[in-house]
Amino acid sequence: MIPNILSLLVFLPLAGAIVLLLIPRENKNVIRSMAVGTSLLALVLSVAVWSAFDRTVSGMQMGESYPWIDFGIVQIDYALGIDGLSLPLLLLTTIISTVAIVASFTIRERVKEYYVWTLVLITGMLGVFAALDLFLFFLFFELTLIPMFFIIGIWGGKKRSYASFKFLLYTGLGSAVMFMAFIALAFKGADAMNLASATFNMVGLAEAFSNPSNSEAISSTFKAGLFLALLVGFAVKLPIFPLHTWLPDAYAEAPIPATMILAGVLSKLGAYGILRVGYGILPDQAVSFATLIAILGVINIIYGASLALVQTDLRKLIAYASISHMGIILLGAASFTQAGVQGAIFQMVSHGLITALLFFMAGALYVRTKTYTLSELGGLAKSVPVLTGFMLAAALASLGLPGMSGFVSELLAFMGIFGASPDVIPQATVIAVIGALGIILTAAYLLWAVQRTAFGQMDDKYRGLHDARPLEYVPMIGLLGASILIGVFPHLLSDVINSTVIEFVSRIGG
Amino acid sequence: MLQNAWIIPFFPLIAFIVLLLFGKVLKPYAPYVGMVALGFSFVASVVVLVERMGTETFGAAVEWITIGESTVTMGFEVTPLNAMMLFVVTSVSFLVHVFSKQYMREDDRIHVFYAYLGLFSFSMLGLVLAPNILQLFIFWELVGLCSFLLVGFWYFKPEAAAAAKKAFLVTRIGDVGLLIGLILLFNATGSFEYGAAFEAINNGQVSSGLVTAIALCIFLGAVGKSAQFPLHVWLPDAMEGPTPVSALIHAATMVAAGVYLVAVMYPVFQSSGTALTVVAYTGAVTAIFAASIALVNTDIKRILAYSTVSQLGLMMLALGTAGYVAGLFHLMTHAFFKGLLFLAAGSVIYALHHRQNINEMGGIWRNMKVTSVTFLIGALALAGVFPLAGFWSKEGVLAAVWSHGDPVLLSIMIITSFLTAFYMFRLFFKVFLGQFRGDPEVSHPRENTKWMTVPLVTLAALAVVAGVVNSPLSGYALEGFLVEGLTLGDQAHGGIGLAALSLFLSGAGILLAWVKYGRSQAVGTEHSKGFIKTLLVNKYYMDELYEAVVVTPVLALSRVLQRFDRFAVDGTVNVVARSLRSVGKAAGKQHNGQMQTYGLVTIVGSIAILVVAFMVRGYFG
Amino acid sequence: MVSIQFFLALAAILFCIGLYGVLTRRHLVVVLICIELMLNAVNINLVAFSSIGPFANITGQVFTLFVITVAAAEAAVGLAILIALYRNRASIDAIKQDLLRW
Repeated sequence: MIPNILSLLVFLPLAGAIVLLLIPRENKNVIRSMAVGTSLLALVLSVAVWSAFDRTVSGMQMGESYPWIDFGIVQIDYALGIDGLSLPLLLLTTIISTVAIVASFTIRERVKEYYVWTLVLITGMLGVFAALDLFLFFLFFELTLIPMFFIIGIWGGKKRSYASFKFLLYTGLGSAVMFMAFIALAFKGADAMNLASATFNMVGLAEAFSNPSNSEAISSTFKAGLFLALLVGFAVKLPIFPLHTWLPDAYAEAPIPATMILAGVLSKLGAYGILRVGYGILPDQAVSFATLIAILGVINIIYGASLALVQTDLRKLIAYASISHMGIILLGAASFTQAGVQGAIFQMVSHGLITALLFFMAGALYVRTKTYTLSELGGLAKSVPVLTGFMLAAALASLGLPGMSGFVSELLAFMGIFGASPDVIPQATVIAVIGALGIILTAAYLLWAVQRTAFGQMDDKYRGLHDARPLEYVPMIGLLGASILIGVFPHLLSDVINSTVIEFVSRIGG
Repeated sequence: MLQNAWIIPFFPLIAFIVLLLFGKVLKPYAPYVGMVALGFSFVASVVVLVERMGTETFGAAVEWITIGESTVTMGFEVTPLNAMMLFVVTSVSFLVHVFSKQYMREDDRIHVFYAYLGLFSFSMLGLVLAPNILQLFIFWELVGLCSFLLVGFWYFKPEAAAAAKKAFLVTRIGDVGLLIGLILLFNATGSFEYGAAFEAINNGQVSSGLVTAIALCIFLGAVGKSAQFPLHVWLPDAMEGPTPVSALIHAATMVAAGVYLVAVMYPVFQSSGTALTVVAYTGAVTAIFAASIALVNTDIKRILAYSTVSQLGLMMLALGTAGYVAGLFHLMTHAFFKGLLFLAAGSVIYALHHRQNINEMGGIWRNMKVTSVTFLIGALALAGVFPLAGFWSKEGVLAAVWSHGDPVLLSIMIITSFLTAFYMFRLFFKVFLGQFRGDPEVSHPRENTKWMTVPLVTLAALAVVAGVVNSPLSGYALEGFLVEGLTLGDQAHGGIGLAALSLFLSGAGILLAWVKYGRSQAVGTEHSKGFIKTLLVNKYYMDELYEAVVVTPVLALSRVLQRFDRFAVDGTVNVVARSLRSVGKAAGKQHNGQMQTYGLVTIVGSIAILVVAFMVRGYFG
Repeated sequence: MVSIQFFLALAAILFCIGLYGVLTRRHLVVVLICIELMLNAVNINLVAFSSIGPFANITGQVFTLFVITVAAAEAAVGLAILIALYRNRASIDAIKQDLLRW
């Protein structure tokens, strides 16, 4: 086992970015292959982490911790570590990053900058999932923001400047709320533990806040406020209704590979944050807000699905579908059952893979037809059968067809919410049934989208389009294959998650 | 072989994968790939069925997922019920594979067609072999997918694409019910496995209200898949698919999966009287409802489709009135004779170059002897004429309803039997007798090749003899086989009286059809234009009703939400952004670039700060 | 012995005159000269405290020398900037210089 493998994994893309800076901008092919090579290396490293991971341990593993900044009143550590919650997301990040970088061959302008920003972004995402110190977590969280801002703003579509600023300001505002909550957590935690200096260590804070003997030092109203602040901060990223309106603009304007990362991984940062920080440090408050979270989840499901039903732009449709699917994460997480929490993690991975694939397919069709407008498409199954076949497969995966990962996560999440204890969520069955109606709507809009693009009469101008190119098979087969693998053999994933989930739920229940 | 029964679904799966990857190369041989795979499956199924008759139920499972402290497994199980189903599915599927070679000959995507057929056979066999309801659900969805793909096989036709979507969505409504049902079952009993779950229910671990809820949710799934009222609307539209598909999926196997589901979950339904009543009434209403629409329809495939809906209703009715064996027996015989009818109809349609309107047919008997005779056998079997398969199975259903004793159900059953015979022979007379009324171009259709006629003859033979297995002639052998290991009440058997009643109904229906359509050789148009006729022709306006009650409101609501999203939610965001920006603009105006103004402001500001600081510190007293 | 208040008053008056000039004169050379006035006001204060302040010592006078040096340098740099400005914009009128506008 390589020492400090997590640091190596997290900073490898950054190192790649620095090397890229040294290559002259004219050598586009060298730059591309360097970027692909870096992301592949990260993928290999994360697979190594995956195989070295001890499935029987529920706590943090492969930890690294060094004192980093000492202001006297504040102590910040450089601490990394992973458990069953973060490991699948690390692997998801490297998979999505690799296919997104491969899919970036459509980017033709300012190639060097593009790959540099993308690699920096990858370091940010990996760092968030590996960080065990809230301050470090926040730094990485923000590190994802800046590159994405530039990627949308420079390589985006027509309304790119509006979309990128909306993205930056919206998520920046969320981060501000979140950071205030972090600071309050650190100082209150230090008070409660009688420490001389505030600590941002997540594991320590979790103990400080859940220890009943500290209940006098920290009032429960204060903790509730903290939890709400965290929820709002992460809700922007997830996003949760009504803080979602940056998303359709950003998803629709970002270049396709960036959208794949945005939808595939960045939205999971919010969900991960809620689980890791919100549930991890303030479990009791999480339980008391469970009904709220479940209702927000159902609203997300139904609201996103309804809006997806009336979209006329393929990318916006997928964007709203994405909002709808985020609701399932919330539902599963809110249930506080083993099945539900596991379903939430499954859904994070599954949605990452499937939505990235959907966006990739939309982009591949756009490259050929030059339009995302559904009414202008149609009958493409005739000219590009392989692409539309994968598009159909992606849509089916997204609507939760068994045999693919979406089904497993929906099943687990709904098993969770139906089985939620009445003490946690009083009217769980009602919420669950309303959420289940979303499944029907999901099928409706996805099949409608497929029908409008692939089926029906083909316009003559689409005759003789080039079907899938070899390079396009990499993202298509990679993402769909991963989704099917999880769908057919879910224990590959559940084995890794399970002990963490058991411990997680017992902490909340016990 | 029982230990290796899991291999049966994998033959077609291999065919699917091979055709998916190498379809373009293998195109001329695609039918053979499919046939060989199904041939192996069929042989294996026969071996399994024979072997199962002599031994115990065998099952095996592997871990699928670990959820916290509980583990969910996947595997297979060979019970009498699924051994029978294996035989039905593989035999019909094999014959359809053979039939399609000719039927789909001219299609450029024949390899895709056979790939889909392979995937369907895999899924259907997997559904049948499933030892737990979760696995059943997984394959249940996959057969729905295959149905979607095959109905929409001619995707460039807008009707086919729309029908495919409709089929998927309507059954999806039922599927959500089933999903909820199985989740409730798991949460209540701690297991998806049939045996463990039934044991928990029989031990009274689950409250009776919850059992009813579970049973009804599961039944909702069956309603969707088996096209029961009110979720039947997708099946007639699904006739847009190629006819062999209609025969295999939408007549013989997949649509029967709903009946199979109720049969598999029978212990749950038995624990809830309400659920059984709901099953019986849904089946009865569906049976008479669909039969009445079939009376006036003019599309040869849609008439058969409504007939299928009606017959599936009868199966549900049988299950709901404690006729467990009768329902399954009817499922089996129906698979054979309805598969036969569809394939024979396909033979006619193929010979007429894809014309389906029965008003434009007639006199086919003279030109297509084999097709006509086999169709007649199928029609007689469906009408329940002695001694064909349909007679025995329908009599079983009638006996179950009779002994159940509900007069409403009984009268519906009697009327439906009569209507069935009538619409089938209306169809037969209009298509096969009289003069040809259609396009002169195809006025002399020729009998099709052996690829088509051999499956017809084989199915006709099955439609003749299959009834014997559960008749007094064999001492109700099927019943003895199926009830093993189950605690059922006595299965009702009809006596001579019921048989006579059944025969009388069939005869009356055929006679009336003869009087109206056969004797007079009536030309296509049917005169009466009464209210009832209009209602029937428009299928009771069910599609319009759904359009008005479900589709339009959902879309309208979505549009309202869309506005809300754009103007209220995003509007708020933009208003906040804009007001902040205008504050900035206003402040920006003050910065005129005059350094002397800046200096003045700086000085005044510094002095003000000093003054305030002094006041706060108290230097001014 | 003249009391320190007189020196301070003189310096304050001189400072205010300079300040007034800086804030109101349109000719930038005059503005520069006014800045010199303000610096000299500071110098007077420094020298006054250095000789008759409560903690009289030599540091104040040393600082005055520094200030004079810096002022000379500043005048040189300022005039250079003014010449550059004049070449660029053909005017050294303070009101016309609005490059600070955002």
